[in-house]
Amino acid sequence: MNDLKSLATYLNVPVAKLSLDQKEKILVWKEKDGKTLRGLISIAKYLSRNSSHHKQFSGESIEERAAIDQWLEYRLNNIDRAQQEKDTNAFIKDINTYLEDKVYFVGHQLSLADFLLYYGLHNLFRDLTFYEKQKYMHLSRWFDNVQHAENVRQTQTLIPFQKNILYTGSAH
Amino acid sequence: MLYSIFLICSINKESIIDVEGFVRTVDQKIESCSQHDVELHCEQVWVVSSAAPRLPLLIEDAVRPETDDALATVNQDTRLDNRILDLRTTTNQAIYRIEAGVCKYFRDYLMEKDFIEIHVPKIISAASEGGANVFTVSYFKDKAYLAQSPQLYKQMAITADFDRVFTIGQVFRAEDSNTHRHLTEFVGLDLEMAFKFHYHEVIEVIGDMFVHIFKNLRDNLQEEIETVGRQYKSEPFKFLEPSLVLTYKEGVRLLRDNGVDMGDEDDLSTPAEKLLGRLIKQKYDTDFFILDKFPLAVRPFYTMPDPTDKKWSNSYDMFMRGEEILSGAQRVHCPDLLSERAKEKGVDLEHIKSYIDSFRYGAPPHAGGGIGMERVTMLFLGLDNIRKTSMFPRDPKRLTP
Repeated sequence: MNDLKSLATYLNVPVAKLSLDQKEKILVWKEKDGKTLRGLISIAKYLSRNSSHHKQFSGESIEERAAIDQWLEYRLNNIDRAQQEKDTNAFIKDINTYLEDKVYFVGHQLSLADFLLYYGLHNLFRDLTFYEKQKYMHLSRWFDNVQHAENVRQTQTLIPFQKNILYTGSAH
Repeated sequence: MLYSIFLICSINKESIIDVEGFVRTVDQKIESCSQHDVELHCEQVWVVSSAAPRLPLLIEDAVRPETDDALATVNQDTRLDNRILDLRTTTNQAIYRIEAGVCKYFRDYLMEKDFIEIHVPKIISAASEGGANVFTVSYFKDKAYLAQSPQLYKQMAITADFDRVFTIGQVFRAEDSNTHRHLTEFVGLDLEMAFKFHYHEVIEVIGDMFVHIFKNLRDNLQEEIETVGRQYKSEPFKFLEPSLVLTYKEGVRLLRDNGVDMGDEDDLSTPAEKLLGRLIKQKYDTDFFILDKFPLAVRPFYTMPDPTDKKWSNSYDMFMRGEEILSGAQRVHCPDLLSERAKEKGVDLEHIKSYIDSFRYGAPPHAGGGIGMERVTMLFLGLDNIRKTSMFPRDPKRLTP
């Protein structure tokens, strides 16, 4: 829920009534005129496309928009649903490899994918040790970049990163 | 009995034999032996002591590094159960020579600085540090305890005008910790020194002592260090000369800058200590450093408070590879202040009456510290378990051999 509120703030869109449908475990966005949207991805895309300032945020080309959609799904299916450590380890490694030669997830600027993935991964990053942050270097680099971008972090805690190599051998 | 060539091959592994023959040079270097350029041509072979045909473990397995996946290695429990065979490996022969070096250079340096070696009782009438982690022994009709540290007696030697003392002896801690760095019985290298003006004189002596130990190990036992490194890979130990000293406040600030959430007077948790070690290694390139001026709240009652600010104390810890190896401080030498501090910490004055009395007949200001011989060796070599540096280790689960 926090993600969508922050997203609305970032996009300068007024926050409507946001609640959680307990039965279906799905987010519900209700505007003043009665328009409702259900689901994290739908609401996020709605907000993003409706904001005039950030056309690039939702993807400049059709390919970029499709890629962003893919990453939003990834967030929902893999990150939010990860129960055990081995699930988390699996997707962390994947994303780290993906980010090896990319500054942002899609295209050359901050997009909706980066935004929601940052919020989706924040809890995880809070508990990572410096050893792990060093192990997943590309992911850490991306995370540090996004958390310092203007108005993205808002009320989330700033995760510290070490730009120097601390661990040469083992974690000991 | 004189054996023929055929029978020599049937001599059991690890038997003790006498060989008489000629030493001859070889053209090609022999890699698999410690002597590379000579061979022994046997004329006679005698069996002095035959080993049993089946050995509980093979020396070549015991000396193999863990990374060779296909080939067998020996796990720790098997090694410790059959310690005399395990100790025969070249690695272990090297480790204990290095450990002997730690003691030797500790002794040599302090004696050069006019310290005298003393020996103090291990069977004592009252628990020295805290009631919980102490072994009891039956003492005729009474109960006695095994000393948790020679603290009391070191100080009594100082008040007996010995000025600078050190002692090397067993220390017994009944701590039910099954970790890689705790033993129930270990060897403590303890020192205590009366100083003239400021307890930093003592920190300097201890810091220089460590530099002396590290330098001599590095220069005189390099071959042994390399032998250990062949089985247990690690980074060589780095240190600065003079030793790096940081204040506790600076340490906390460094940790806070890297996201560790802790208060000014909080004790350092083990992960925080380890992280601090890494950060300092990165910043100053040293595996050894000293942290000075700990908060008074986390130190024992006999630690001298900082005269300028009661929040702090004249105490210090020293670290190797991010793990604590020495905890020391200036001691309270005034009986009244000592009683007051004991009361504040909830220590029963009756139990420590003789300790407090020892300061009633003139006691100089003094400070000191103690290190664990096994732990220093372990961390110098970058080993991962203290049982590797204790010949016959004692822990909550092990009483033999």
